[in-house]
This record gives sequence, structure tokens and C-alpha cells, in this order.
Amino acid sequence: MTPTMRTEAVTKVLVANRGEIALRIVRTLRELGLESVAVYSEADAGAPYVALATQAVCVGPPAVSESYLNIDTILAAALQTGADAVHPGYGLLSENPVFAEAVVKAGMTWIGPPTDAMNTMASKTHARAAMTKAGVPVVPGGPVEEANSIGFPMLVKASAGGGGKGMRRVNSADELPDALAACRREAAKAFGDDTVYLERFIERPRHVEIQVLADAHGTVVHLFERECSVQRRHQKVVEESPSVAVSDSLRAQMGDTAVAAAQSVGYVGAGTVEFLVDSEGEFYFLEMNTRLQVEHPVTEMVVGLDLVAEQIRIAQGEKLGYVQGDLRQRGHAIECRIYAEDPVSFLPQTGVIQALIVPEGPGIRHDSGICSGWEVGVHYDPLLAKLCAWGPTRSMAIARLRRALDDYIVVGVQTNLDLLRHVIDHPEFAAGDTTTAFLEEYPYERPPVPDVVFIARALMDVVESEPKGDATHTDHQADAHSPWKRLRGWRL
Amino acid sequence: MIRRFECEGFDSLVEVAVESVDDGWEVSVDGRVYRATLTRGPQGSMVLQVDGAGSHVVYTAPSGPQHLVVDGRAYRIADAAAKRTRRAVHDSGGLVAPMPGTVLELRVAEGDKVTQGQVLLVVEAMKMEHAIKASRAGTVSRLALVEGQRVGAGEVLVEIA
Repeated sequence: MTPTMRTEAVTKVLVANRGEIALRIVRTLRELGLESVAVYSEADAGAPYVALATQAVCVGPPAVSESYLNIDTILAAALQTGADAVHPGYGLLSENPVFAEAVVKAGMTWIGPPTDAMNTMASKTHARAAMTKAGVPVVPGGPVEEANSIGFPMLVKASAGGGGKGMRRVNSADELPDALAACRREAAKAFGDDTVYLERFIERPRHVEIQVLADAHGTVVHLFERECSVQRRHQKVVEESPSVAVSDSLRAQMGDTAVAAAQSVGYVGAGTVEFLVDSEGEFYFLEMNTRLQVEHPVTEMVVGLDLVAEQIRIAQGEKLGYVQGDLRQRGHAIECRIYAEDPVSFLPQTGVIQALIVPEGPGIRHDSGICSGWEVGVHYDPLLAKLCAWGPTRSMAIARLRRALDDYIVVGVQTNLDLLRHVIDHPEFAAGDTTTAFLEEYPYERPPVPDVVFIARALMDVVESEPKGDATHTDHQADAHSPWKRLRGWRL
Repeated sequence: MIRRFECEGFDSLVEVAVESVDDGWEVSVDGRVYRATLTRGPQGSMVLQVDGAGSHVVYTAPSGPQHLVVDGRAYRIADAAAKRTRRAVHDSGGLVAPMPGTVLELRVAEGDKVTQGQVLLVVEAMKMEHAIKASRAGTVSRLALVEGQRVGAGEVLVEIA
């Protein structure tokens, strides 16, 4: 049962998240003149979002299970600081109905959908049943017992899953037991629920999702599509809006279906209905994410709405104030996810970011949770930042993004920037021919290291081995044989 | 002065010799000779000119030049001498942890015969599972781990004889 939602004006919001999304939410709260409360683990004490919130409360040690997933501690922080609303961000507790209910029971506003809708969508198996009932097409699949009738290749998925965690591709029956065991284990760890189910694997599909907004007064609109086909390990890397593959009629059809899906579960708030689109243009419901999505900025750039501000307005009981016909897609936006990971093996990387230079310029948006001196540790998702570019056309957005990727400097931690440059440079990407198999079909290969890199490395060694005092000399004071003299233009 | 470097992700060693000359340096990379000058650029960068043709923007980490970014691309280039120990371990059939993490599951024990590509153990790091596979066929000669144990990056997990 859903407790009655508070519909009073929000004044102080606890952000139950970390990293780039916590900072992104804090920014909107500041723009709206609202107070913010950050929660942080001991590992995140020095994070930018902590410094920029009105108040901050430490909620425990670095492990998420002892900090960001600890409902009691986070609620206590909200009550102690007098917060009257909670924004959960994405991941962590954002799709946890128990947390949502606890927030409402404690007399605060939950900036998210009603718990009934969350409950339905939280279980992928329940969601599939509900969508089938609502006439929304779903990918053929079912429980593990039906493996034989679904056919190979198939995907093993965590019922409580998301973000590709726990998901395994299985090509034949003998691979199934290992995949089931691994998926159950990862699901139990990540979501506290080891229920898994099977789904037909659709070859070379596109991943296209529809952003929806629903107010508490029965108005539901969609904010068009995001194409998120370029993925690695079933996790998105590059997202854009609009999708090259979506015609006006397909857009209208998918939009209407997404609105119907939201209405069928009594949805209120911002949500995303994810679809697979096959090569014939047929689309199938994948799942509904009952929260803000990582890639929401591309929609904001194209539609011109601040989704966090809209979430807050909806949570306060306000009407949307616009209808579908008022909404337009303007230009084109593309997002790149910058991860601390090896661009070839995709293995997460750790270390201290020793220098960070972020691109600027027309149409560029950068959402990050990092700064120079930041230590990328093992406890959290390796997402460092999101770099977005907007342009009046897709090719201008690509040109801006490509230029911005070249200007993005991270020293000290390996990132996937080279992989992103490879994707954005690829003729198939330029042609809009992106499927979820993109990186398998066009893998990034490490290019040979140009000699200039070894020259730079060796000269830096030489320069660094010079006695420190020399650096403070001006040119005419320095020893004529000192290499520092050759650092022409040296300014101190 | 001759230095030997190794770029992460590549096997071969590169030999670089640097000599101070009048207007900069003469640098030889595996025998290919270049003239180079270095000037201070914006935001802590260095601008490297090679043979007077075009400039390259270089950033290095304050902790040392192992981490460097040249023309926007990041490289990790170690002094070859410092990396020798780790390579020796790998060559002898040892498998090292790719990153800090927790041992989730051991699939083999000391004395087991393994085939190339066989999953030996599963390590969890950054919320993902990573299978550590045998680099070659042989017998597990050392496996001093228990499930649940934390391991550091570069730590030897398994040795295969």
C-alpha cells in the first residue's frame, strides 16, 4: 500500500547519492534557491558535491552497503538536518521501494515515483507481465524453467537488476549453469535478490529509450527518445538524442507506447521506458527505470527542460503545465561517459587524478564528480564524468564533441577517452549505424606509441632530475649548461 | 644518457638517448634521431617541438613522469628496470590481480592440472566480477588465497608451473 504523498513545497532536499549525479542535483537545488544536504562516505569526504551542498553528513565507511545503502543512517541524516524531501539520484537506493516508503513514512517528500509503480517495475518479471497486460510488446522470455522454449542465444538477467549488472549472454545449454550461478551471485550482491530470468537475445539491436514525465494530476508526456546503443559489457558508453534510426512515425508510436506503459502502473515523476529496436524497426519493452537516468542530459539539451527541477515540481504536486504538443526536439545532443577504465580490456582503473583539464566552448556540457587530486578508489562505479555536446545538427554535435574530447586531459588515472574518440571518429558512428554490437564489431585497438611520447618521457626525466633551485633562476642567472635554460618561456 | 622505457599495453622495450645540444636536446629513439626543444605551456603543460615541425602539448603528473598525456592521449611509461620483477613473475606462469579487489570464488587448488584459458578464480572489483584465466596449461604450483580475501593490484594470485 502506498502511503499518502506529501504535496507541500519542498525547501530542503537530502541528496541520497554521490559523485557526478549528487553534484548535478545540488546544482539545480541551488538554482531553485533550495537548501541541500549531501551524504557522504569516509572515502568521499573531499568530493566536490560535499563542498557545494548547504550541509553534509557522513553516513559511514567507504563500502556502499555500510554507507550509501544504509537506509537507517540516511534517514537519520535527513531528520537531523531538517530536510523535507529526498532525491535518490540513480543507482544505490533510487529504485528501492523500501527506502521510498520509509522516506514518506518519516513525513518527507520522496522525489520519485509512487512505491506501487516502483514495486511493479523493480521486478523485471512483474514488469514484463504488467506490460504484456497493457499491450506493450516485450522480448520473448521467461523463468529459468522455460530455457528450452526460449532458445539460444539468450541472456540471463537479474530480476532486480539494472545497469547490465549480473547480465550474461549464453550461447548454448552447456554454458547455462555457469552463467546462472554467476548471475545469481552478482545479483545477490548488487541488489540483495538472486532471482534471475531468461530472455531471447536479439541480434544487433538498437537500444532506444523514451523519457517520460507524469504529474500527479493525470498528465503524462514523453520527452522523445535517447539512442544508447553503443555499449560495453552491456553498459552504455555513448548516448544521443534524437536517434538516427527513429522516424517520425516510429517516434510517435514508441512515445505513445511509453506513455501507455507509465499510465498502466500509475506512474508519477520522471521515468524511462527502455526498448530494443530490431533491424526491422520492431520494438520490444526491456524495462522501465523509475528514476533519473545517467544519460538524462541529452534530453535536457534537446528539449530544454531541467529534469531535476521537473521532478521537484511534480513531487510538490504541481501540474506539468504543458502537453505533448508543446514539446519539440531542438538540434542534436550526444553524451560520452568517461570511465576510469582501460579502453581495451574495460578493466576498472584506480589512482589519483593528478591533473584534470576539462573542455569548454559552445554547446559543451560537463557533469562530473571529480577534481584534481581526487582518488579513484575501488568502492564505487568507475564513472568519472559525462561530457555532452549539443549542435543544431548531428554532424555539428559530433564535431563539437570530438573537439572537446581532444581537449579533455586526465593525468594519473587511465580513462576510456581514447575509446570514446575511436567511437566518435568511426565512419559507422557518423553514418548513425550504431547497434549494441558496435564495440564488438569495431573494437578499439591501442595504436602504436609515436616516438614523440618517448621523447617527452625522456626529457621530463631529464628536467625533473635537475636540482630544484635551478627552477627559480631566470634565464640570465641560470647556468649556461642547465637544461632549464632551454625551457624557453618559463614563467614563475 | 641512455634510458629504457616500457609503455603499458606494449611488450617491447624502447631505448632513448638524450644529449644536451646548443638550442635544446638531441634525442634518439631506438636509433631514430630527433632535435627537440621544450617550453612552458598553459595550465602546467610543456610544449615539445620536434625537428621544428609542429608542437606537442605534454602534461605530466606531479608525482613523476610515468603518467603523461601527449596531444590529449594518456600513456603510462615505466622505467624498464622498475618493471622487470613483475614481468618475471608473469613469464613464470604467475597471474597477478588486475586491480584491487576481493577473491569471490576459487575454482582450483594447488596441484590441480589446468588448461589454457581455464577460469582459476573470480575476483570482484568495482562491483563487477572478473574471471582470472590460466595464461597457459600446467599445474597450479602456488595458490595462497582464501575466498573473501582482499588482494591488491599487481599481487600474485596463482602460479602455474
